[in-house]
Amino acid sequence: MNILEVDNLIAGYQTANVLRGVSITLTKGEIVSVIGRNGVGKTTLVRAIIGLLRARSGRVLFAGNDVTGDSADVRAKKGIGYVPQGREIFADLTVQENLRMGGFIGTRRSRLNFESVFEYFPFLKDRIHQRGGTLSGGQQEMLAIARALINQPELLLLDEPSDGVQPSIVEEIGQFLLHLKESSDVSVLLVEQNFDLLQTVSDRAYAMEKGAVAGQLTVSDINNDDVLAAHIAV
Amino acid sequence: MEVDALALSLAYQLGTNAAFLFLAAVGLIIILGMMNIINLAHGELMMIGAYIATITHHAGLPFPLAVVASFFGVAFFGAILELTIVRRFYGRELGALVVTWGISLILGQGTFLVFGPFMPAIKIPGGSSSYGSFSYSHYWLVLIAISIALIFVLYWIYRHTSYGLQARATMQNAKMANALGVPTARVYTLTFSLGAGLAGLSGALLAPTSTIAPFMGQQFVAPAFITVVVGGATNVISGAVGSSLILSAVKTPIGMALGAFSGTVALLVAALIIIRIMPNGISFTIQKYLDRRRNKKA
Repeated sequence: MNILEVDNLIAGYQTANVLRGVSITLTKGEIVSVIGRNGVGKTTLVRAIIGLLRARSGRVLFAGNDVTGDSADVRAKKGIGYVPQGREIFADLTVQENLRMGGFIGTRRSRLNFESVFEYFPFLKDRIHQRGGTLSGGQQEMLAIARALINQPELLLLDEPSDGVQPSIVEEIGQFLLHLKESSDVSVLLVEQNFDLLQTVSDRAYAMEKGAVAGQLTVSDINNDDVLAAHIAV
Repeated sequence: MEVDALALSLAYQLGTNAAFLFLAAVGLIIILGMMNIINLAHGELMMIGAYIATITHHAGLPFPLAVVASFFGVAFFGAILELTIVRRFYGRELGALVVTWGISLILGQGTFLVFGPFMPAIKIPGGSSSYGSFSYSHYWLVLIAISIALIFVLYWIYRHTSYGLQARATMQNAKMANALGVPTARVYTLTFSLGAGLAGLSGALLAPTSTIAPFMGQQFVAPAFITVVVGGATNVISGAVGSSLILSAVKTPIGMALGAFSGTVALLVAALIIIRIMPNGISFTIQKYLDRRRNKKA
C-alpha cells in the first residue's frame, strides 16, 4: 500500500509557484530520497507534505486518505513525523521536553517510550535535563530525529539531516536509518545532497529539476557517483 | 516601636508590596511572555474583574466565590477578544499595542456609561490583629498566601501539563510546534484567556483595597508594566516573582523610613538601574547563570 502519494502538486510562495506539478509515491517501509540542486523545490515539497505550505492544486494522500485540506497539526496527528532543515529543536526547552513534544505526533497515546530513543542515541539520556540550545549541531539533529520518532509515526520526513553536521555524525545517522528500516516498518522520505548518506540508505530516489520530478533513480544509479553528480552538482 | 514589632512590620510590608506587584503583573506577563502581545487593556481587564466581583458580591454571593466568578468571567471575555480581534494582530506588535489600547478605551468609557462613575465599595474581608505596636490586616496575609499559591499553580501548569509544554513550544517556534501536532491557534486562545482570567482574578482580589471605578485599572498598569519589564520574558514566572520581590525589597524600607512617595520614587529608580544592567530582565540573567552551571557539571 502507498503510505504517501503526492499527485500533481502545485505550491509556492507569494511571488511564484515553486512546485509545478510534483508526483511521487512511497510504500510502507521504504526509504526514498529526493535529490536535486539548490532551489529546485525539495524543501518546499517537504513543507507542502507536512502542511506548513498549502497546495494551490493537486493532492497529498497519506495512508490512502486525502489530507490536502488538513492543517499541519492534523497531518502530524495522523502519523507524520517531520525533521526540518536546520533541525528547529526548541532551544529553551530541555531535551526531555523536546522529546515530549514528539508525543503529539501520531495517534498512539500511551506513555512515551524514552528508552526506545536512548537506545539509538544514548547521549540524550545523559543530557535529558539540559536545554536543547546547549547541544552541538549534530546532537541537535539527532534530538530532532528522536523527537519525530518517539511516538512511532508511519512516515518520517527528513530534510537534509547532514546539513551543518560533522561527517562522523552523518555516518551515525546513516547507520541509524538502516537500523530503523530493519526494526520497524516506518517509511522515510529523505531530502539529501550528501553522497555517502544517499548511497547508504536509499532504496530509490526522485531527481527534481525546476519544481518537477525529472527522473527516477534505482539503487545502482544512486551508487554511481557520476549519475548522482549529474543531478546534484552545479 | 520595639525591635521585633518593627521587624514584623517590615516583613509584612515587604510581603504586601511584593504581592501587590505580582498580582498586578501576573496576567500581563503571561500574555506578553507567551504571545509577545503588549496588552494595554490589562488594567481594564482587572477593572472588569473588580466589577464582576462587586456586582456578584452585592447580589449576595460570598466574596471568595465572587473572586472565582471574576476569574472565569474575564477568562471567557478574554477568549472572545482573542477570537474576534487580537488574533488578527499576531506578529504585528505595534498593531496589537494600538488595538489593545483601543479596547481599553472602549471598556473604560463603556463601563462609565453603563455603571456611572462609582460602584459601592467592598468591605475588606476579615479583621486585623496587632502585635505590640505592629498591626496587620488578615486580608493582606491571605493575598500574600494566594500569590504564593498562584506561583506554584502556574509553575505546575507550565512545567507539567500538556498545555504548558505546548504553550512554551509555541512561544518559541509556532510553525515547528504546529508541524509536530500542536493546534497553535487554540493554544493562543487559551493563553490569552488565561492571562485575561488572571487579570480578572487580581482585579477582584484587589477590589476591596481600592475604589471601584471605571478607570481604576490605570493605577495597576504602571506597576504591572514595571514588574514585567524588570522580570523579562525568558522565564515568565521566575521573572515575575524575582522582580516583584526585588522591587518590593527596595520600595518597602525606603517607604517606611521616608514615606510612601519616596518609596515609589525608589522603586522607579531601582527599575531603571536593573533595566540598565540587565536589559533582558532578571529571568534572562538567571537563565544564563543556570546554563553555565549545568554545562560545567556535564
